[in-house]
Amino acid sequence: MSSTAVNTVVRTEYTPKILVITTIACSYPGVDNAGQQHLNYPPNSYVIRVPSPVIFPEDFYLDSFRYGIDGILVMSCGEECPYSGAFHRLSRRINKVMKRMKDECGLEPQRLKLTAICTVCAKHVVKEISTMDTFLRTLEPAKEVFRSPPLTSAETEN
Amino acid sequence: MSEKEETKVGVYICHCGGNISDIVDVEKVRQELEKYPNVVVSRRNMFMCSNAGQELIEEDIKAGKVNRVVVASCSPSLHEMTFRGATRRGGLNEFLYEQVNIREQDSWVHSHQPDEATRKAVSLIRGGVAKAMQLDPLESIKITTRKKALVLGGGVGGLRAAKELAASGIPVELVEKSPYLGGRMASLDTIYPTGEVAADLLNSLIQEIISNSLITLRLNTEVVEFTGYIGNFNVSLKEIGSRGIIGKLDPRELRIAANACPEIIPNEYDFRGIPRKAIGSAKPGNYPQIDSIDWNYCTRCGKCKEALENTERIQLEISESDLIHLTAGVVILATGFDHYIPYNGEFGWEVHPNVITLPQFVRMMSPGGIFEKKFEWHGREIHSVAIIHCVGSRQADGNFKPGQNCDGMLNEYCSRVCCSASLQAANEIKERFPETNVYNIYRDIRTYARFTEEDYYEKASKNGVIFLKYNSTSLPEVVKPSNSLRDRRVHIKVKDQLTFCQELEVPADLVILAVGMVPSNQKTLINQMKVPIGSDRFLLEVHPKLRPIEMASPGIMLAGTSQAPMDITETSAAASAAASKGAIILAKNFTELEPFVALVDPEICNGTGLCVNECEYMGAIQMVDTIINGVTIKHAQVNAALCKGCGACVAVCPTPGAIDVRGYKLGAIKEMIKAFVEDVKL
Repeated sequence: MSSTAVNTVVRTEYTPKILVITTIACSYPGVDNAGQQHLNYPPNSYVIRVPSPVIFPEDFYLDSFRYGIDGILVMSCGEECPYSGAFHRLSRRINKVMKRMKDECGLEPQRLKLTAICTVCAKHVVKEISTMDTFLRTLEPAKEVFRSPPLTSAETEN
Repeated sequence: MSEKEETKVGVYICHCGGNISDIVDVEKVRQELEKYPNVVVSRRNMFMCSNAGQELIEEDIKAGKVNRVVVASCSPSLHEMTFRGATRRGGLNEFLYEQVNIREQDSWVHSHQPDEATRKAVSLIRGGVAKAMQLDPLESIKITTRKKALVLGGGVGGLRAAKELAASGIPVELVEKSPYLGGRMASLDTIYPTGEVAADLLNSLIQEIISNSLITLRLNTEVVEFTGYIGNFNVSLKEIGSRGIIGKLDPRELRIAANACPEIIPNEYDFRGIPRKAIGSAKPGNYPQIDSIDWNYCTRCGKCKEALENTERIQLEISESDLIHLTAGVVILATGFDHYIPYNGEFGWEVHPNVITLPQFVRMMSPGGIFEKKFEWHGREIHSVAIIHCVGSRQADGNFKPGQNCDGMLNEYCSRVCCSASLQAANEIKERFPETNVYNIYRDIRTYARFTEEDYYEKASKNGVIFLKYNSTSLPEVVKPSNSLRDRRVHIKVKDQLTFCQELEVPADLVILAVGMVPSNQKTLINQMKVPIGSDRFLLEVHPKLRPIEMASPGIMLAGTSQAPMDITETSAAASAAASKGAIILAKNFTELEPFVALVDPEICNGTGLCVNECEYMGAIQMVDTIINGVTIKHAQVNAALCKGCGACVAVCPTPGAIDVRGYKLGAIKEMIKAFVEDVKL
C-alpha cells in the first residue's frame, strides 16, 4: 500500500515506537481517562509512570533513542506540578536535550515533546500521541539516524 | 530473602471478565511471557482481583516458586494496594510487586486493533518484568507524631476546625494575623440560605473556642519560619505587636483619639464605606470587643496619646516580642480569601462615586450602616439600584482585564456565592425599601443551596426585581449621561440577551458590583511552607475527589476558601473534614509514609554535592562524613521524612547509581525501555 502522494513519503512498513513519560499525580490518570472513555490512539505507545519527569537526566532521553525509541512525549503536570520548582527545571532540561539531539545525534528535535496533561485531559492525550505517530511515520527510524554522541567519561572507563 | 537467591518472576494476567480478554489474546500473551527470561510462572485468570486470583499469587510465593510479582490488569490506581496485599500475605515484601496496565492503557484504547493490542500487552508486561527484576524490598517510613494541631486563620473555617480538633482531645494552636477572630464572616449581616445573623452564629462558635482549655488563641500573630514534616512541623510565630490599647477607651475618648490620628487607612471591615483611622474601635462582629491600633499603618506619631492627655492606656512602643517556637503534628490552612478589587474604570469603579461593591453594600445595609434607616446616597433618595453580576469571576472568552489584587491574572473561575448573595441583596432592598427599582444585570445565574435553589429567584420575581442578561463579549457599560449635567445618576448600557440583544439603558442611583473571591495575600506563607497553588492561585489539593482537603505535603490540610471559592456551609464542611483528617493522623502516635524517596549509596557517591544544590526541600539532602574502612568519606545523605521523592537530585548526579528514588530507579526504567523496543513475534 505504498503512498502515491508526491511530497510526503510515508514509510508504511515501519512502526515507530513512542515512549510516553507520565506523572503519578496528573498525566498517568489522564492517560487512564482516555481508556475509561474508550477513545482510540495508536498502539505503538508505551507509558511509563514516575513521580516527576524531572528525575531524568539529559542522557536518559538520548539513551532511549539509542535503544530504539523513535519519539518521546513528556506528559508533565505543567504548572500544577506538586513538586516545587520541578516543572521549570524540566522545561529547561528538555530544551537542552532538544538542542543536543540536533547537534550531537543528528536527530530531529521534534521527536521529543514536552506537554502538560491533567487528570481529565483525555482528548489531549489522544491528540498528542496521534500527532507524534503521524509525524514519526514521515521520518526514518531513530536508530538508523542516530549519530552516537562522544562517549561520556563513565562509559570510556569500561 | 538472601541476596544470592535467584530472581524468579511470576506473571499473572487478568481477563477482567472480558474487558481485557475480548480484545487481547490473553493465552498468547501468557505463552509469550512464559518464554521470557526470568519468568518462572505465567498464569491467567478471569478476575485476578478476586479471592481466587489473589490466592494464586499467595500460593506461588508460599511454595517458593516466585519472589517477584507482576500483575497485568487494570490501572494501578484501582488495585495496586490489593495486589501489594496479596504479595505481603504470601510472605514477600509488598514492594516486590509491579502492576502493568493492560486495560485502561491497552484493551480499552485499542479495541479496533486486537492484534496490536495483544502485541502491546506483551511489550508492556515484558517492561513490567524488567522493572520487577530491579525492585528492592522496602519498608514504609514510620514517623512519631506530636499530638498538637496548628490552625492558621481565625475565620469561620479555622474556628470550626479548631473546635472539632479540640473535641477529639487534640491541643490546638489557633493563629490569627489580625487582632480579631471571625474573618470575613464577621462583616456579613444575614446569610443565605437561612437568613440567620452571621454575628450570632459566629459568636456561639467563638464562645466554644475561648472556653475550651485545649485551644490556645494567638491573635496578632504570624508565622515567620516553617520547617519539618508530618508529625513534626516546627513553627516559629511572632506576635506582630500588642493591641496598643490597654483596657477599653470609652466611645468619646476613642472619637477624640481617632480625630487626632492623621492616618486615614483602607477600611477592611467596611470596605471603603466609611474612612477609618489607624486607631479604631472593634466592630460589632469582632471578637474580642476591644479597640486596637493597626500597626501596619500607625506611624507612632503620638497624636492620639497627646489628645487624651498622654493617657497610659495607649501604648505605642511595641516591645519586640520573642519568637514563639512550637511543634505540631498537623497543620490546617484556613487562610481564607479577599474580595476582588476591580481595576480603575471596570464598570465605573473609582470613576463614578455611585459604584460600590456588594461587600460594601452589605455593611451599609446592616445595623449601624448608612442604609439602616433611610435609603439615601450622598443626600439623595435612591430610586434605582443596578447589581452587576460576575465581576472579577469567569473572566474568560471576552474583553476582560485583571483586577487590582489579581497579580495581573484573569480569574477564569466562578466565585459561586455571588449569585445567591446578589439576589438576597436585591430581595432585601425590595423588602425594606419597596419603592426602589432593582435591576439584576447578570451573565448566568445559579443560586445553588440545598432546598432553597429557586426560592431566591421566585421571591425576587414576586418582588418585581428586573433581570437583564449580558454576555462576555458585550459587557455592560456604566456611563454618565452627557445630556443632563444635573443628573447625578449613571446609566448602564446593556445588550440584553433576553430581548434579542436589544440595547437597553438603565438609570441607576447606585451600582453594586457583585465581586468574586480571590485568594488572600499569602505569598510569604506559601513560600515558607512550600505548598503548591493552582492556576487560579488558590491552594491546591492532591486530588479533587480522592484526597480533596490534603495538600501534597503530608500533614497539611485545607479548610475553606484558601482552596477555592466556597460559601459558609461548604467552608464548615471542609473545615470539619480537615479536622477529622488531622485527628486521624494524630490518633496513632506514628504515621507511615510510602517509601518512594531518594536514597544515596554512600559507597558510590563521590560527594559532589550537586544533589544538595538541586533539592528544593530544605534539609532533605545533606552532606555528611562517614568513616568507611577507616577512611572519612564525604557523601550525600537523604532525610527520608523530608524528601518528597520528586527525583530532581537523580537527574543532576554525575555518578550512575549513587542516588536513586526508591521504586523508580533510573536503571530499572532503562531496562523497561529496552524491553519495550524488543520485537514481538506472534
